[in-house]
Amino acid sequence: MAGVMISVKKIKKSFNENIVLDGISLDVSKGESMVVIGGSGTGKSVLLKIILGLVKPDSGKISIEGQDILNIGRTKFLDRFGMLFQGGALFDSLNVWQNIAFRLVRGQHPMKKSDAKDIALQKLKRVGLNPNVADLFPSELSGGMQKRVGLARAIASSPEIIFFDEPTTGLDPIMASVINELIREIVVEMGVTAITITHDMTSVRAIADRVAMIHNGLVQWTGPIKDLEKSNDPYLNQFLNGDSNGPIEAIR
Amino acid sequence: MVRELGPVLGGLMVAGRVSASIAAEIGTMKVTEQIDALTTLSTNPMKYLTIPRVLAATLSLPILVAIGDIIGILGGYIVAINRLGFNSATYLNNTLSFLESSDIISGLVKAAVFGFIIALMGCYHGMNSDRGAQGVGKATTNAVVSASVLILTINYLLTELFF
Repeated sequence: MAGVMISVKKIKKSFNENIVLDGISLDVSKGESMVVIGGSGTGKSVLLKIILGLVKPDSGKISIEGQDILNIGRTKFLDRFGMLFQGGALFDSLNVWQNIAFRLVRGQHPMKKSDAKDIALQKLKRVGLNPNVADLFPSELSGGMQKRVGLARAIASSPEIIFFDEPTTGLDPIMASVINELIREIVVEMGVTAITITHDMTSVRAIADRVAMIHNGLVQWTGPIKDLEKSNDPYLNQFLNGDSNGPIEAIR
Repeated sequence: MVRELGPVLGGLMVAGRVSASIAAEIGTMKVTEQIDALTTLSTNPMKYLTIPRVLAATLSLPILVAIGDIIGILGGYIVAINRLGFNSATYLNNTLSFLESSDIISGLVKAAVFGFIIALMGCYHGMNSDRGAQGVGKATTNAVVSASVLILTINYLLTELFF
């Protein structure tokens, strides 16, 4: 684990009166798979969107390899990212391979359509989909297949950093573990830095090197996956066991 | 017909159809995070979604209005000859002598401006759509209403400007 890849410092964000992130700080090392857990509405997605620059924080600083992201050009910075969205967010006007090859064809260094299609087909195979899916449209695919295509799109341009936003939400347990395994394999084989947000504990155990738990807009607990079960943190234990009684209020 | 009715009626019709469909499409893309996905794939959603639509509407509305003008004048001709008993040659002569090229050009310029407004309003309200199906519905309504109101207002201003 050499060096810090992503460093989030004292990020604050509130929507109207509602404080979502209250000065959160988080470091992710290079090549590490960080999983962020926390209840619904605790600002996990907002945190990812802030790092990606889709949402502006009220205050705080984010740096990638020690460089403030405000000083790196926006496209240059985004070129290093891949993201798997919660609902897949595939472009429904484009077919599957065009979705996967989107950045390859339209990015900073556009390549020929036929080359891009070849790469798209490779990535499709990598996520375990049949090549004849390539010409279908996203609306013709099942939820699990859409997630896989989303994953293929996220890895298509071989990014250094990949974000996974609730990769297993809405999938059956078998498909969920297939996706978890895929994510783990891809993270290991590509050596990427990954941040995954989820509240699925099976995912956490399958994907994580390190875990951070967000509560009340702050990191409540963070540590390597092996310490997860041993921790005495009441918040974390309540979350792990899924108790409705405990320090975290059930009504939000 | 050529100066006022063609562009305004054409504009309002297209505002109902096109700005609604643009707003609904982009609004849905926003709700399903496709706009965010575009950004993370290093593509500016403004450039990728807005510019082609605005260009297309700006270029195509004048064509539609030109067709509308021709059909409108033809309709007037048929009614005048068959129902009102006008002489065909007199009607055509009078129509052509009243029609100035500046009328046609100003009508087509208006149509282009309206097309621009229609697509822009669709894109703007779609991009700023709230979350959920209700948000998209609201964005669609707002797009049609604001496009229609702007067409009527700007029509007045352009007529003042031209004549």
